[in-house]
Amino acid sequence: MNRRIIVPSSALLLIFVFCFAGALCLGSAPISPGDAFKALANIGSAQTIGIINEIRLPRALFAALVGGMLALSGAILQALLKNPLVDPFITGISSGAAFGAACAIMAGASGLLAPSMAGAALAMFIVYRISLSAGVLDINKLLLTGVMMGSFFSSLIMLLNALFSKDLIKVVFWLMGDLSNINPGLLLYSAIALFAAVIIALYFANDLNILTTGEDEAKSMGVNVELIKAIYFSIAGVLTAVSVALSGVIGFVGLIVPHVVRAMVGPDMRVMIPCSFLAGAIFLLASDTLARTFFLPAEIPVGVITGLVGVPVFIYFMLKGGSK
Amino acid sequence: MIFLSAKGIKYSYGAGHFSIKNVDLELIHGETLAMIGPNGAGKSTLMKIFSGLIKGYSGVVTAAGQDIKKTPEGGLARLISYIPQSSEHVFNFTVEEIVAMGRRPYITPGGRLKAADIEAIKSALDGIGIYAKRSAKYPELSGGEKRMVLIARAIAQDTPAVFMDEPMTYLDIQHQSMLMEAVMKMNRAGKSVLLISHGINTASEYASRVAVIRGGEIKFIGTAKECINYDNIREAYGFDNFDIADNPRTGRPNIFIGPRQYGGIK
Repeated sequence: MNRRIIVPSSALLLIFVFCFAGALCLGSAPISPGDAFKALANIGSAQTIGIINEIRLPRALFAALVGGMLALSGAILQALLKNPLVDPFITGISSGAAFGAACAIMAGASGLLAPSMAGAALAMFIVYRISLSAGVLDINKLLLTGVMMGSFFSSLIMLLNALFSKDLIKVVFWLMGDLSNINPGLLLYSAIALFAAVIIALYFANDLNILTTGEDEAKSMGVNVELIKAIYFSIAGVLTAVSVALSGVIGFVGLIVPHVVRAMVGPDMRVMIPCSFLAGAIFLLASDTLARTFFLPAEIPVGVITGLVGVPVFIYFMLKGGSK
Repeated sequence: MIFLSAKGIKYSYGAGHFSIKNVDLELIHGETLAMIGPNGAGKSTLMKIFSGLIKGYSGVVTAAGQDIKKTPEGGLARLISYIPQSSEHVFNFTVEEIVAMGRRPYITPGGRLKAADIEAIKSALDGIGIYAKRSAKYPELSGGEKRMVLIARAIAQDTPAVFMDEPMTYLDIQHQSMLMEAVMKMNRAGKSVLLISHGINTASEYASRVAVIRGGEIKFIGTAKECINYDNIREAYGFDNFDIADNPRTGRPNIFIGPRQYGGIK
């Protein structure tokens, strides 16, 4: 088991380091790897130190964090809902967050974090409550309610746009995902939340494996099914809510990354959890570096890149027979 | 000695829906008890109640002397293994990974398999003759192979009782025979087996006792000779186009059905 986790995780960690170095070096002012490394230790020109430590390092950490959260959330939800085609936004939580953010944008508020978190929490609560009957969380209801709530909040956003269309473009850009608004303090809290989520998710991962074979079977093997469902829905929900509140709706990371990782390492969640997190971090870091540098001097929303890369990858896996 | 005792079991899926009506049943240590009966008779519901999967019933079910309503999942999982009617997995777990899941009652959620667990998994795979298939992906196996994997998982779970809901659905006669031989092997090893079967002949040939269920009640219970006769089967299944004769090799009653346009068997 150890080998099965360590080998792919180490390989992904190496790729991550490579991508991270690329993210630090590439940009409108290219910096050599040596200079970038020195700048991290505050050695070199003030300009280089400023670019690396104040702009590119926080942004790279932010991209890696959000990518890891989305991929981990997707991996968990795909296992929980026993459906390899689920992505975190199917739970309606992202639409709730988007609605909260849209309300704030229309009202002219500057901070979007609190309203989008409130919207996400509202959506999460509604979906969970509707899917819960007599103490049992109905997974099919969860999926259906998530889709319904997603449509409902999207309709509300459209209504807001129709009524107060002055800031429509801001909402559209936010919905496409944006990694340029970084708050270092939030970065730290989010990293702590993510670390806790990974530890809890890993601890119960074997029970989640067993749960994917069926609820009755899991119960008969001693798994506390309702506890496991509640834990993983909460973890996935919080990760989705935090990532959407921080960076908007960045599509395809939570769908494609777990899909590809599962094809490579198998469905065991004890391996999937660390690998999905690392692969998600790599994917968004690389996508963001492309978004920043490919059309210089223009910077495009990272969601455009994840979509442009994600869709062909997804189609490839669909044609190949999918990953289970 | 009684392993499982059910007294005064009543359960309903809701007003106007199907219900279990006051069922009493005992499963004796080391016996194979087969539940037969028409579709919708309540066999699967009863098995889920006895397995602790349905809790909202009235009456008392005890397994190894413990009230199963009050026994936590982990404790119950060390007493009863349950093999459901169908088990189609979405994800590509290997045969070995599926069988390893049977060791869950003996480890904590985050715990690792110990040497004894690994030995139990190997022994279960070996015992059922599927060790060579241990790396195969479960969803890619045939129906018969999948059933054998689930039996291996139940063996790895190492419980004194195994409950199986329709284990022979979709299996050809070779796999039916293989599966029942595996069940008999578990039985000879001292496990109590509760089996739901649509195959009246299978129940008759392999079970120590047979319970005939209809309308949420046990209509008849006893040895195959006592229960499987023309009148009982006609009453339980509500048709008469069949005949019953003893298997000359085992002496146990077997059922034959035939086309009605030829006047049926009778």
